[in-house]
Amino acid sequence: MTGAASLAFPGGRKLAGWWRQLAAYQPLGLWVGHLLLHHVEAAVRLSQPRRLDPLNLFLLRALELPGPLVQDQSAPLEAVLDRLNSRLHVGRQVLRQALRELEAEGLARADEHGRWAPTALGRQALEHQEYPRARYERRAFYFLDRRAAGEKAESLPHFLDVRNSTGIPWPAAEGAAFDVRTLQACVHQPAEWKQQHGFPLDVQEILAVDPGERETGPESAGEKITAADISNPTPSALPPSWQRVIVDRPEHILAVLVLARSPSGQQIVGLAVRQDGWVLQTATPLFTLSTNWTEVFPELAADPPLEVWQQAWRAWCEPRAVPATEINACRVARLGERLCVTGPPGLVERLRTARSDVFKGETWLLAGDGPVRAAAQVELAED
Amino acid sequence: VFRSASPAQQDELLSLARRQGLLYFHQFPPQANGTRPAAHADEPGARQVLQRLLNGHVQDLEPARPAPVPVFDAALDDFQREAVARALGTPDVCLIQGLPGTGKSRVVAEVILQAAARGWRTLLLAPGSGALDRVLLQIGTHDSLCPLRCPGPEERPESLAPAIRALTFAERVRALGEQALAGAQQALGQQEEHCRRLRRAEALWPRLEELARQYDGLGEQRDAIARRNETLLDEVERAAAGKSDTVSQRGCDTARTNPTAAADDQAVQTFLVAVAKCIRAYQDDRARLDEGLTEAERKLDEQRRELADRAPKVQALMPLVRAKERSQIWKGAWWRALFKGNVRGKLQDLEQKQTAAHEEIHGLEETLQLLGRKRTEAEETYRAKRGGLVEAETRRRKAELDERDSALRAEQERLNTEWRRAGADLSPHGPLPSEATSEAVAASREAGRLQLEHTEQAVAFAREWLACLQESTPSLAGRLPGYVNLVAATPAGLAADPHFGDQASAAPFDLLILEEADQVTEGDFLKAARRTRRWVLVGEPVWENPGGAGTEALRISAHDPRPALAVARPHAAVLARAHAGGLAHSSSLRPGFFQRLWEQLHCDPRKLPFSWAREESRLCCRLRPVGADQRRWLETERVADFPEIELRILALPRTPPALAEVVFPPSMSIHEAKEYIYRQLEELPVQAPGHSVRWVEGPDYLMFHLAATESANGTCVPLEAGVRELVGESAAAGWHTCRLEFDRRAGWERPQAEDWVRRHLGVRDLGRTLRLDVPRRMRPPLAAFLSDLLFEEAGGYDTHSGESTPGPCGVEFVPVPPVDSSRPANGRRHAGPPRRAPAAKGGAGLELDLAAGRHADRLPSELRAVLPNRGFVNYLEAQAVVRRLEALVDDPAVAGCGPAGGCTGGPAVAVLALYPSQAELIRRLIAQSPKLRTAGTNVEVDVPGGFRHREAHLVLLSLTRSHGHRAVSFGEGPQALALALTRARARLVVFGDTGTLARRSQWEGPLDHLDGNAAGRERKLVAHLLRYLQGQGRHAGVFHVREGNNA
Repeated sequence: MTGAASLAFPGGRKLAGWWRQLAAYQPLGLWVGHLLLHHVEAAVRLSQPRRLDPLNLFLLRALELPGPLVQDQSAPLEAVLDRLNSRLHVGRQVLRQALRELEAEGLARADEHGRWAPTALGRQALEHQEYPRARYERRAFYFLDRRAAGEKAESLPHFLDVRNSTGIPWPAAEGAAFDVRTLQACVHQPAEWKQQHGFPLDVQEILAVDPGERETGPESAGEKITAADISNPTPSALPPSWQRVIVDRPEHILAVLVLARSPSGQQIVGLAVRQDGWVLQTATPLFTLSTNWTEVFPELAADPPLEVWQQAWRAWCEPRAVPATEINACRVARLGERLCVTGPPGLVERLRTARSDVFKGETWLLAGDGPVRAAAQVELAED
Repeated sequence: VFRSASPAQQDELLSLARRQGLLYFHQFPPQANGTRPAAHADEPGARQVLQRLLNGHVQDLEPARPAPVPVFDAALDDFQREAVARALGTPDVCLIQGLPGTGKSRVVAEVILQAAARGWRTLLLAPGSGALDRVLLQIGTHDSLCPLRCPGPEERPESLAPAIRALTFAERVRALGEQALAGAQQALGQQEEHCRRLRRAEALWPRLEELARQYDGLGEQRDAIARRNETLLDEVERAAAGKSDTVSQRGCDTARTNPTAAADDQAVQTFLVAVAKCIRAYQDDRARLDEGLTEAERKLDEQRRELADRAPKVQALMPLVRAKERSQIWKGAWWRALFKGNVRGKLQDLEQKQTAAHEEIHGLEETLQLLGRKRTEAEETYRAKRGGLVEAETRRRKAELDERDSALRAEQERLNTEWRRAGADLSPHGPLPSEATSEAVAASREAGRLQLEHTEQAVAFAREWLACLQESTPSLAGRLPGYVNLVAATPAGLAADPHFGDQASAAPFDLLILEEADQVTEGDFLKAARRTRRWVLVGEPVWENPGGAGTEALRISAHDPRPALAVARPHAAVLARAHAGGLAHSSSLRPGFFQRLWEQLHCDPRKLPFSWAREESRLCCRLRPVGADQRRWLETERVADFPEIELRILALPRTPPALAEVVFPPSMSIHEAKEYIYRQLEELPVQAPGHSVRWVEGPDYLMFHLAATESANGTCVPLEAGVRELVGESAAAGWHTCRLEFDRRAGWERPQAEDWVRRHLGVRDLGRTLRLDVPRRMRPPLAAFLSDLLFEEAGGYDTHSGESTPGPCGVEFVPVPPVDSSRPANGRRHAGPPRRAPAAKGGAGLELDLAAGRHADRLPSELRAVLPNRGFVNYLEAQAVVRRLEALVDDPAVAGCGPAGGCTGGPAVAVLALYPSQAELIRRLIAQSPKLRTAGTNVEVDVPGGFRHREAHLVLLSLTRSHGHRAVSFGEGPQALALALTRARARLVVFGDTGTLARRSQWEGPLDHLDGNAAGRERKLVAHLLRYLQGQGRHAGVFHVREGNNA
């Protein structure tokens, strides 16, 4: 974003129309903002609960059962398989593969003497009949970057739980480099934070390319990783380096921010706007912020100063040939979502004569010159 | 996006990502505008590699340098191990080629096991099920594998061998369900019974503890007795001395309760009284004697005192008496004697008294001695008596103790018997105490408690597992495909398989092993290859080349490092084989890609254009082949500074002249000639007899082997610093290069050495192919014969490296009818000089066509009824086969052949007939033979197709055909004949009509059902066999003709 001044904002009538569209939200306030989002795609390690299937469950239990299996000073694999087969009778070949699976899942392993026993994870799985299973996949994360919009340089991009983004690539975002540590820091946030901000709880780690790592492209070293590998890898095997590259695709999106009622109080609902025709996409919110919205959009917490609104009113009046003395004589005040303007009788009469929309409730003003601007419906009264 | 980028772009992107920590979208390369990216996103990169290889783009292929692999099968030779390492280490594809019986299946089995050990999933594919089953029979039950055999659409499960059927999905599910359920039920019953026994044993522990306690008490008593026994003498001595009152005290205590003890104490008292009496008597005697002694000593003292008192008086009187007697009046003594008066009388009196005193003293001294002796005697008497008493008492007491010990031992025995009885009541699996002690019982009881606890846990486990099996066997079966790490199928079987077939969404395989790849179409291969990451192709080389359109040799120039592509060998033979194997392919789906890939990936040093020969006594180095028709264009020049060296330049019209041959004078050795050519012409004219090249990395040298075997009389030719050529000479190959050596100490490493070889020879080993030449199935003599008969064009076997197994081996031909019937019927064999050529006008006409009724009438009626209605039989030949078989089963080498004798993988004897009807006839005749019925030798009779992928120690082959006048074909075709000839491990006996063979060898062109190509191959094979019959084959020494009555 090169500057808020160059950004396009909708007119008052469009805002009035959106306000009517948003009636279902019972809006308490309205803002319109150009948001710069980092669409960050990264390979992540997930931890998902997996239920033990019957054979694995009983195999783990059989490993725990006391007996010669654990008393042997050394237990070659053949002996282990024999013992297990004497309990489970499914055949040594199936047991070998099942053991291999348990080992791959980190549920059981053999010590240096070849004695097999459940691992701590295996015991946990035995206790709860399920276990957290690590797997790798690529996930998309959105971060709201306020720096490119001319805001404080030290403010870090903020995670935003964006769904169904319709953003367009924003090549002019060179000034807003994304630091991978921001994403990694989110993973280390407490669960409450993640729940509050909608950060996925199952993400355990963000995988990245190690600067000192040797090249492992898709064709090198004979390791050909197919698409199936990333979705169904061996839990202990990391994806190859080329699949661990983090990709940032900066996106720009115009959004309407609605302060709405929620069961827990108030929330900010973000709705995408298609700039081509100023179409508000109300079907699915872009994001919803409940209690923490002031953290993400601190400017929404406080209404712009009346001078700013006065300036916006002035800007509205100027193209309508209102004399400066009358404009300067106007006083503005905020009342809920409305901006109450008290003006001299001449001004009121002038506008009434001109059949201005202001008397139909169709006039909306946007305050300020930042990328996110507060909107208010103008209510004109005679002084 | 990443996949569609070029390798250079990929590298750049990755390094950028490493620097920045991430990539921005605008940093990606722009996508192709309207053109297809280098690789489609859903097209794995491996397939691109494969496509490039199939299209002959191998220039950019990096050589694979697999590390040696520790193998499971210790019997694999170095080449087989190398094949395993290459198959596992290839990043993409590996081709293994070998003639029949060179151990390919064994290598495949090892590769599968190694893959399983690495956690890979393997797809084993073959056009025929025989190859699959051969591998599965070797390793199907290995623990590390969970194999699945997908039956083909044409296969019925009941037609499969039991061991193979058990590997089908249906059987595995059934086994998982039924066997697991039955096993769990049985185990539960056993565990419950064990548990019951352990619980019953619980009640026995108090009794065992009581017995152990009693046993302990008895033991303590016996120990006390033993201890008393050790100190018994002291005890009695002390009692005799009156120091020990324990006995008498204990006697008093026990006398009140135990009569035996009372008697014992009475005996003790008697002993004590006797001892006391003895002591008293001794003391009395001693007192009396002491008194006498005292008195005698007093008297003696008294006498001695008196004697001493008188002695001065005598001394005083003596001078007086002497002076008186001598009247020495002048002496005072005389005067004193005078005054004393009668001094003589006084002296005599004194002397008499002294004498009497002496006598008295003497008497007293004797008395004293006597009394002393008496005292000693009395003391000795006392001691003896006392000792006797003590000894008697000791004996008595010991006897008493022994008696008590015996009683205790008897009691222990009784307890032991009772202990054993109680122990027997314990569960046989229970923890029996090691000994009858309280500690051992306590320990065992604790162990028993633990065992019971464990058994109860095991019972609970077994019960729950049984319930789980009863409820969820289907879900367990559903897990089975996930456990399978080896899928063995034909292409059709795989496609139709519900779990791994076309319709299934199974995970990709890590490894594809394609057996009999030379018979698989490229389409089938590509279809399977899409699902796998690496491919190992195993097949036979093209060994039939009837049309004479041989492969054009690989033209390589040292100045042009890129090898020219060889013209693909014609694969009509392969097609025919595939056809014979039941495979039918359209012309667009013909097999042949295996050979094409082989030609592209394999480095065959025989294709190098160089050769060395002797022209009279001169060495001639041929730098390029010159055809006979081109020799007239050879121009000769002399080297200016070495005129004895002759250069022959090929100056073909409209072609730049090229140096073709260099002829050296007789004085120059091969060593000097090679050195000269390398230094002066910068050529490395290597003539190599081997099929393959191989790098061997030693600690000091890197060796590039060009021959399979080393030459004993090799010579080293230094080429440049650290590089030398080892040249050998053999009768077969002449002067040839065995290997090139690169000295590591001179700084040579593998990449530099590979580059050097590539620059100088234009060849490089891509590490993706390996040829197996050593006959593993058959013994070297037989292999040598078959090499010559069948595989001459494919290079044949390496019969120098095979193990020489003792026992008769080779080839025997039994002519039916006999060649020379005039000879005595002694069945002698003949080998050696050429024989008379068989009659060319036709055979003996012994064959019978069962479809012709008049022919069938010539068979015995009982056989006619059981034979098929069509097909050829040769009754006399069948009888000859049976007679020879009867003779051979007595051979210890044959009789001892079987699994116990180390012969696995087939019967001891296979009788093969080229026609099913003849095979049936031989079966019937064998059944009629009393000797063969009772012989323990495993004999199987079949047609060659029934023995595909099988072998036997001894093979008897009945050619069957014996036509009276015209040329006839033999069996299905030359493939079946070759298959039959290669089934023997040690010995091959062929039965046939020499006349029919001779007639066949003269017929050119299509014959019966054989087209021109097949008929040509059959004719060539028969003609070659005929040469051996005439004693003219290269290995005539191993070929014998049995003459006489065939038996």
